[in-house]
Amino acid sequence: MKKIFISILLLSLMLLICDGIMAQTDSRNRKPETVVADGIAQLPAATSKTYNRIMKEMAETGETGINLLASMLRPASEADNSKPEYAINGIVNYVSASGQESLRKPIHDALVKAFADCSDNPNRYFILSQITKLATPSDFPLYAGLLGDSYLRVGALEGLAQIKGIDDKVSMMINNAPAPDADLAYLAYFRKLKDVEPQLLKWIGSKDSDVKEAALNALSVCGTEASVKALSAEVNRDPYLQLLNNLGQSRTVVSESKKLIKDKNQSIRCAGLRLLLKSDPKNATKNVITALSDNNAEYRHTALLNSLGSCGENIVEEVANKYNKLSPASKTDVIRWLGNIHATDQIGLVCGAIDSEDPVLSQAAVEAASKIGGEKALEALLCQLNKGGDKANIAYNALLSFNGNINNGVLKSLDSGNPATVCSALALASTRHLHNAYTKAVELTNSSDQAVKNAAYRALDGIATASEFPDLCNMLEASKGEATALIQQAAKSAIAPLDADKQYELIYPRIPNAKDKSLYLPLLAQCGNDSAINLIVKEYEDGNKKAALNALLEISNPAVIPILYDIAAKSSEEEKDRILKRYVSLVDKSTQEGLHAYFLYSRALDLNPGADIKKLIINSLSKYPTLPAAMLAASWINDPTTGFYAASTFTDILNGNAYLRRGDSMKKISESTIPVFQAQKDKGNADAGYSIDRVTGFLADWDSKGGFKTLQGEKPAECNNSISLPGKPENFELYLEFKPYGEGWATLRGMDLIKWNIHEAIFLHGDNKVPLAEGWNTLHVRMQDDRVTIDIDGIPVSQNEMLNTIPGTDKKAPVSGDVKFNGKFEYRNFYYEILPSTPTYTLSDEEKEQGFELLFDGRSLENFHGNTTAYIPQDGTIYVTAQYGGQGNLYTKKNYSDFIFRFEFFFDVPAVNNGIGIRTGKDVTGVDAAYEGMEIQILDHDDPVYQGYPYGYTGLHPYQNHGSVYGIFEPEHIDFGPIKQWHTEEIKAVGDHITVTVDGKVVTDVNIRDAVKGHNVAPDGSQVNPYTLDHQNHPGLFNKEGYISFCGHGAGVKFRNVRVLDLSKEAQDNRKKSIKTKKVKK
Amino acid sequence: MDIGRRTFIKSLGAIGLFSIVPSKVLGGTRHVAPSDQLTKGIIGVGGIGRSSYHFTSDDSCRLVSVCDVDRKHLDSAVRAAKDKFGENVTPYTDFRDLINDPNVDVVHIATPPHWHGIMAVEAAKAGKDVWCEKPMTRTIGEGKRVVEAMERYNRVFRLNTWFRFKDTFYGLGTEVKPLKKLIDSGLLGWPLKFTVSGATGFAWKFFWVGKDHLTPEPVPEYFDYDMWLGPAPYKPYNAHRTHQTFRGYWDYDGGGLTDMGQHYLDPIQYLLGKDNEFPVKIEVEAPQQHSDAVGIWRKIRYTYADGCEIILEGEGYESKGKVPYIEGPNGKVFQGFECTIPDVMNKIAELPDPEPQRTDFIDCIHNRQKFALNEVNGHHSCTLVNQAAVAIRLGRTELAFDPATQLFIGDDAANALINQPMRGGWKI
Repeated sequence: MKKIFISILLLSLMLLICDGIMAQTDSRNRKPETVVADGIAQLPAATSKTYNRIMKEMAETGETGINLLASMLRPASEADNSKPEYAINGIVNYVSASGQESLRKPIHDALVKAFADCSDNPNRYFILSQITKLATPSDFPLYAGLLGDSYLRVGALEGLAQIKGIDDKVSMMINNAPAPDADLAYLAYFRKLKDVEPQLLKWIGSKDSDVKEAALNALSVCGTEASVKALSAEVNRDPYLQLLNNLGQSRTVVSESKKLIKDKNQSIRCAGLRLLLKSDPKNATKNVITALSDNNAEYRHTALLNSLGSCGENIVEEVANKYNKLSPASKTDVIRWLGNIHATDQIGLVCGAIDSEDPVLSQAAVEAASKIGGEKALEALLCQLNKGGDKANIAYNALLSFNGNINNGVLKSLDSGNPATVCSALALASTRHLHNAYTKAVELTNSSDQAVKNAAYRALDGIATASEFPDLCNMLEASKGEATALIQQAAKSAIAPLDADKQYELIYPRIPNAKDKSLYLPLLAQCGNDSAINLIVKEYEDGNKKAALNALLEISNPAVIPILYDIAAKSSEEEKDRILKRYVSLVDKSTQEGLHAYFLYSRALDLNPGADIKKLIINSLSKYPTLPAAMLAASWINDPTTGFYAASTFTDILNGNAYLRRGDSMKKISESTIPVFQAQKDKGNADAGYSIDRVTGFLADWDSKGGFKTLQGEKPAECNNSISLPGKPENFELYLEFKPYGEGWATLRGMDLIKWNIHEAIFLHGDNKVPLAEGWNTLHVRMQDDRVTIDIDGIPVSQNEMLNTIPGTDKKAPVSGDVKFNGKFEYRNFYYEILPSTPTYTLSDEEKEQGFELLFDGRSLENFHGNTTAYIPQDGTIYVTAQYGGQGNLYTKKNYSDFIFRFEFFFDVPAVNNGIGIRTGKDVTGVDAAYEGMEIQILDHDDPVYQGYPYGYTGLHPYQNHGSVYGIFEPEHIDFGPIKQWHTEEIKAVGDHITVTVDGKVVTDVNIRDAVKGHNVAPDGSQVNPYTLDHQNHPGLFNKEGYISFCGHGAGVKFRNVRVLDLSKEAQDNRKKSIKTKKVKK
Repeated sequence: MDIGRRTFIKSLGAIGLFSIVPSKVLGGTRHVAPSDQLTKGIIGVGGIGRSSYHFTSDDSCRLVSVCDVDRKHLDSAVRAAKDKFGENVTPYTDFRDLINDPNVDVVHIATPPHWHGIMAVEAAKAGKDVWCEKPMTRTIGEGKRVVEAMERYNRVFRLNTWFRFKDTFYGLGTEVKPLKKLIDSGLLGWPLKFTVSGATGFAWKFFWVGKDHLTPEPVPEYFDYDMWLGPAPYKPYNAHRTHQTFRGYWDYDGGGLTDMGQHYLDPIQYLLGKDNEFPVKIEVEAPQQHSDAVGIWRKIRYTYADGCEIILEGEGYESKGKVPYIEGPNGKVFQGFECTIPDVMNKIAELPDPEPQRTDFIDCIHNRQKFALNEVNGHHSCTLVNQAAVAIRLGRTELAFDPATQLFIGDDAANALINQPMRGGWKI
């Protein structure tokens, strides 16, 4: 798998680079070209981890990588540059991260060169934006020179604004500017340039309002006292204020800010005060105290908020001393401020203010006390509880968020005897979970004061724990009226932290003796284990329907799902919807298996719920992208109330399952969603526009072959004897819903594999039983090769199990046969697909005679080792899903020296790259076969990605084309035509003589020793070998033997019909012997 | 151009800390409409600006002008105003004309996000109050500029997402208010972890992605592409860049994350009481992004200085089964307000209500008060969205953020995306 390599390097350059980067290979022994090619084939990377790995590898190739990639950028209007753009952008982002500094320079330099060589504006903009991320001071001339380029000006400004270390150069440019320039002033602002003040002061006189504004703004951040006068004269006060703010503690600022606090505009006054406090710390305290008497609240706030930073530590005390002389509004400000700064020393002042007649001040004081906390504050607040009314409420709310431990105070208040206080204290005890208040709370439930009594019952919830549970039950059974629900709640909360079975152990013993069992239903519902459910169901059956149903609806254990269904089926319309709403939510949360969710939702729709529930169900189906779910959604697309939901679900399902985007019937349904979405779009729903895009996208790459056929649609039909699929299928998949009237059985490939009666179904291979539901049941069967998958009601009965013999016999299972459902039953939604037969391969008589071995027969990889997970058998082919860096290459089990290797290959995606590695050394794996042996290239070499624009010639070297002995010998060019076709190939290796024949034509016929004049490595020991075409050393070129391997670089190549003839002397001798033996036997 | 007055403005912003807003209107340019009726103009009347929720005109606020760079949109909006409200609205093709129209009191910004910052700042300068669609701004830097401008010119700003104060909050199944009470009560403990995921009832619109290869197309004669692009870098026209599908391109927006993100994250910032805070760490798991086209992402984790976390689960990363929406040391809240704290609804009913929010925009304008979701908390929640967008664009798995400077720590490339220069003389 040597790949791509659009090398643009000249030999002279190569010498240079070979000393450096190119001589190196990465940890997997790959050359830079290989790394870049591999990287590109994997972009865009699907995860951060992959991304970082690929980018690290590509970035480490340095200039070589960027050169290769930049050469792939073609004029934006003509070509798809997305691959190289992903790669360049990714590399630059990667090296721009901290810790990658050492990789930046070569990447940067190569980009600068690529920018110079590029003439297409969009590409130049792209490259410039990438350079900016890595730019250094030496790039200044590049950016300065582009300010006059109308297309690239923004890109140039971006660089000039952000590149570090060019302040002096930008300053010089501004000072030498021939005319005032708003963009240059903007740069001064952005960079906070110090040396351009005189120039900017000139520019603020400009008649051009853009220049003037830019210069003013720039001076506001880079100006000195020299700019104060000019800026103060401007109508726009912002730059002036900003400038003063920047100047800090200067006399000018003090005198200017004294003027500002006399301004008519309050915001300007406040700004002035802040500047004054900051610039004149000596007088800050005095100024704050003065400001507190100001009539303007905003001004007072500014004083308080800026006081701590500007004044001495005694400011809090000074403000407190002044307090009594302040206006009520100002007092309120001070109290809030004390609360905000947690002024514990001033808690006395704050608590005193609680008693104020002014309600605003009083409330502010309560809140401040709660923020400050401490015993004194607590006492003051608890004391407020006695007063009742608004004050008590405010205090209660403050106590809920009190800063500190209030437990003892609350316990004390329970004894206060004041009903209002006791009620509040009970509520606080509950919220704070004060367990030691339990005895007292129980005592208070006997209070003669009704309010206290109720508060005490209510407070049990939160106070009681599991150890009080029996006590609570006693109270519950003896309770009357409102108290019952409150005690019930307390009992629930008390045991809620325990797990379900423990809860059940506590509840269950109480029930037999309870006079009213329904008292315990809410507790059982909270517990919700299977035993609890059974008890509730029994109560329901015994006639306590309403209470039991309410309990069932509270249960979150999915075991309740079928029970809810059965009740819903018998309920009134309104009740049905209420139950199904809960049913849907439970199914949603608990069901992972798509076909089972479909089964549950489909039967819920069979109950014909209201429109809202229908929408809910149809929406939920979108999470389970299976064929039956798609067909169910499809059946609602034409319904005016559900149409949009159904269309959305249908497209979501297709989006989640590309396998469904096949066949004519599915295509028609897809098309039918467009008008539904269009109508929504016309109503202003932007998402609908995207849905249309999505469907249109599906339709554009629709696979019209294959797809599901319908034997029976959503309308039920009756079967009195049997129904069957046409023909005698080998591989197939089917979905069926049926309602059995009695016994029946399914014949699959001529074998009776499933039997049923109205109660259950049995898969006869292993006798796996599944109970059947009353009403409709679903069946899914897939048989492919020797594997069987069966789901009944969405429950897996057989998952891809091998089926080699007919169940109950030793007879070999047939590879095809009748598919038939027998018995009396109703059926609907019967969809099926006859899948292609698995092609198998056998040796021709001629090859058999010659002694070929079949390495891959279409079904099994038994003759291979290595990466058998990324190389998988699929539809009779070896399908390569390997991403390089996964689990490596696929190797034959045996070593071969001289051989004829024949196979067929298929490019499934453009530009795909693989290779046949040979003779990598006996039992050697994991090396780069192109150098440590030979690699016979497999490559879709005419793909545009290998064209290498703008260098004017094919980017690929001929010694990299398909059929090359990579780097050693140029094959005759093969014109593959369109991809997705099968090609035949033979590789013959006998000693030094290698012959490659593709589609019957010899493209390579070479003596490798002659081709390199005997020098597979450079005679002088250097890294540059003048004798090989790629000027690389190939130390393994003359190896005698090794595995034959598939060296995959990316997904998308298929192989089939793989066979080999071993031409080693030993193998030939063995064959002769066996022929003789056979003859003798004859 | 950036005025950069943040530090200074902070002192003016101090007003907000006491929740007292001066009643006086600064600026002086505001046109006072007859009686107390306000007037508004909508910029962008193709998508959301034409939807029934926004394209309104009534006694409290009359629609008087519309603006669009697509003549078809503009014509159709003018007709609709006549048909629906009997109003002869003034059509504008340059938003600056609408903003400077003395008959307009309120500017409603319904353009793609790359315009939000500039338009909001310009409207504030012209003395207009602003209604702006989410996301508030496309970059963190533009958000800072909007905050400064609203404070400086004392304008009333409403960011339009609303879940912090009304409507059922997606997977929660109720409004946010009871949850706010629950969290404020401390019953769940601290710190809290939020999970925003399909598994907790939230959907990220992952179909809002861009195409990584667009072939240039002729610009339709009825469309002013240059003005549509405005400050965005010039790229050859392709219809997919513009109406509706603009969300899939980094130059204008950031896909489902930036489009839905503020709906989901703003209420969480409110719930956590972090309206004035930013996360300090952002971790991202995403596939590689194209430099132009927005792709999908898988997982985003925000961490605050006090250990609170928000986890966004995206495509292919969603938890299976039952996942808590909120998880605290003492309790969990699941989808549908299912809570491990027993009888939680009754308990919540007993807790004090959170501070009331001002949710009448018209009233806020008349009384010069801050709207519940304004430029300040809006900028904070929008920053979460923009932080993640930066990490995703750059392929960073982790970024550290300094809330004091509002800059990323130790990552120049990430900081370069906080303020982005503008094309064609546009400035904020």
